[in-house]
Amino acid sequence: MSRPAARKVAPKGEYIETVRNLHLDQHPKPQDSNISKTLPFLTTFSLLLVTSPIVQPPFLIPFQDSGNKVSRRSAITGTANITLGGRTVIMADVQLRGDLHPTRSAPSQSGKDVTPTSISIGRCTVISTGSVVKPPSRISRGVVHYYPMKIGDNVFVGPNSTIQAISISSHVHIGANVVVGPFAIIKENVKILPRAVVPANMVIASGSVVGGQPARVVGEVGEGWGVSGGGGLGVGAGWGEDKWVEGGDLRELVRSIR
Amino acid sequence: MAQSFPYTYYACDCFDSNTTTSTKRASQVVAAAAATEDEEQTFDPQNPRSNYALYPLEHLLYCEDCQQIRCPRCVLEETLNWYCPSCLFEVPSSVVKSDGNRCTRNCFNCPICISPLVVNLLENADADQGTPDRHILICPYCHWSTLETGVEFEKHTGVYAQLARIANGGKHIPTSKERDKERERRKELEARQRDSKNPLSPSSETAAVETEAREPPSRDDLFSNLAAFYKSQLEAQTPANPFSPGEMNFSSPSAYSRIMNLYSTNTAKKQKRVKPTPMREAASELEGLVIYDPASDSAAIERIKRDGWNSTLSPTQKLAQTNPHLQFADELRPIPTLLCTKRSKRCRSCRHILSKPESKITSTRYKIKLLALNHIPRLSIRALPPTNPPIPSIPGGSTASQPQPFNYNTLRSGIPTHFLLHLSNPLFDPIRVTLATSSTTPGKVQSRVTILCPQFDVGANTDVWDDALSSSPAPMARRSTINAETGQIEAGKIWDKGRNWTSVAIEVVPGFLADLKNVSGEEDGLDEDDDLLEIPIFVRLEFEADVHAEERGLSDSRGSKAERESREQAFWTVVGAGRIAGR
Repeated sequence: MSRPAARKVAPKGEYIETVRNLHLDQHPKPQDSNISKTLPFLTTFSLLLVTSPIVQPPFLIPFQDSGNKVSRRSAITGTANITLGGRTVIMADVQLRGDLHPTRSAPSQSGKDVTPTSISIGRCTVISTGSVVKPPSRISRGVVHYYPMKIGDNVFVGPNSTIQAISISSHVHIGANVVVGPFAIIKENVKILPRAVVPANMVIASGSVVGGQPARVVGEVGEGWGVSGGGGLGVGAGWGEDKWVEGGDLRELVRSIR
Repeated sequence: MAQSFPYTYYACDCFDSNTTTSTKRASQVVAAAAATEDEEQTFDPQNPRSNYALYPLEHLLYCEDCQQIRCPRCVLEETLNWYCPSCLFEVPSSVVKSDGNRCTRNCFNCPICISPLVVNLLENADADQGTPDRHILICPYCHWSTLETGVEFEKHTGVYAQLARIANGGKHIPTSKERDKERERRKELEARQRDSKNPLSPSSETAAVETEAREPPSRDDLFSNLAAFYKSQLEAQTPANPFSPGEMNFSSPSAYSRIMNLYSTNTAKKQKRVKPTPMREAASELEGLVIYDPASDSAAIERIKRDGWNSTLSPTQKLAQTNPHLQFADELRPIPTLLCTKRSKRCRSCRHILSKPESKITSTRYKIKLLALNHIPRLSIRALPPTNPPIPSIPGGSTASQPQPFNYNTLRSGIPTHFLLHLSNPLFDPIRVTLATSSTTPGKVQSRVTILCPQFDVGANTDVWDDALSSSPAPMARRSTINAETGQIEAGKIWDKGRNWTSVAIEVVPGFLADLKNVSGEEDGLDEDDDLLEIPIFVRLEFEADVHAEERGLSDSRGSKAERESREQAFWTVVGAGRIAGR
């Protein structure tokens, strides 16, 4: 399993960098990452055209400017196995364990070595400082197997949380210091209160508010969950805090992080 | 309070307005009188009743016909469907009626910690010898498992049905049919004994009955016995009706009222009607009578002496059980998961539907959703930064390079603190806003509050591009509101303004906690949350809207010529600005 070499530090020195080229992207190929560093557009672009005559826009848009912001102080392992949907923020001291990918080789049709995906994260998702995102594992016949985890769009993960869910749907707000146990399934529009411990294998139905240790459903989110007030966000409201709503579109929040 | 500062709650006045209707009890009349008195006064967020009137804006709906906010108290809920929150399967309403509001699949909660249980396969050492697999339910959080109560399952599916047949310790639970048969058998046995009592001494048969009866009947046994007894009583009383099936007869309202008559001491009503002959009460165990046995209590005491408190249950654990009379941990049963519902909501006064989710379980969309968010301006408060606005910071995302964020939990008493009230307008018409508050906050700790600009306009929520395209004058610089000489914020001027929002400054002098302690002369002069700085603010909006604003989308051409009417809206809000630091 070849992995791309450690990411080169971009010259513009800010605390969070914007990943502008194929880095943690849909179909990461080991050779691409080297090429893309030197000639970000042309080379890979032509390569793409050769392989697939039809240009697929969903592939190209994140390719040109993914808008992902990954902190240089984050600890990401196995980048080849991680997919970021675009406009996603990985803050400092976040651990993304992409190296814990499914080992059980899927029966590949073409015989090619397909890079297994271990973590896929959707668009406009924010993983706050100090969080750990680790694919869940199960021991079967004495061998540890990891299962790919999926995080949807507009998910906010609070600081110092540990996420081992198998799937987190869109518009989920996870508070600070939350532990989400292995194989938990979190559906849409869920709010997890700070310091909650979601036990393993728990399914949280959409629209619930959960909290406590162990987490239990303590309420329902209101009808207005995720609906930004005032029809459109308070554009130019000044400070970053008020521009976004829990469970709503996190684009403004992502934009404000730099 | 779990909510982090700053927050805004909106008060729904549905209780106060509802009490003016004619249908009310005497106690409510008094409350209503008090409420009308209160109307002149400031809304008091510390009032215990306020807890039930305050909601975050996201939880409020808006009735377009009544033109009023609708809170969870003033909507009617209608259940669309039931589903299990764990397996997300829809449960038909007929099944809910027959089987109760529990998931009848594999979903169980831990009786100790209520986290969901998982089915695990027990290690099968000699699977080759044909020993069947054994499954248990285990809690991934606290590691309680059904092994502790001696319950194992043959299959990993249909656990609910399997569990219904297995008692704790692995014994078999008879089905209702088996129970009926058994009851009949024992009744016959008793009858025969009675017949043959005189000539013969107690035979071996009676001895067998005695030993059988030693085991106290379970709750389910008692229930089925009692149910059967009442059923037989009813059948004996009512003339046999060939058209009505027995079950219907038993659970019919008339039969129910008859049973209840047994227990009611109030005979006033009965005298009018033909008095139904009273039914006999259950007289034996087979009829559902259970006689209190002091031996069971002493046995329980002995057991607590032996095993300690750890073997007993907490009230929450007991109440979560289907049989709430359990005492010991080894009697626990896995709790079948309670079902959830999808509900539509109607306005309580005009019965219009305010929100209706799509009936599919997996869908999170709504067919109808009339949110207060789209009709009521969002009011938010935040501390005014002492100097230039800092770099946008992410809540929780603490970074070293950014300035120290304002700590809302330690407001200093007596030191004027500035906050910004930010009001954004979701309406398509510009609004004129009047804010009002009392000069001191209600409650024990009195903080002085001054809204520096109580009257202002907020622009319409037009398209973002309208703003950019029209060469409107640049928004006034916020510096101009600060007096150059004194460095103070000028009153009567707004702080900042945008397309559909305006912010004004508010000055707060937090009250003293210490004074109050001296006055009351007691240590505990302050209750919990008395140190909260919650500012009630009365918001009044005036705007001109199309008369048929709701139908604007349908007939846009006509909308331009439509008559305009001026509307007014007023409501109380409570903003939580922080917590006053104690010394």
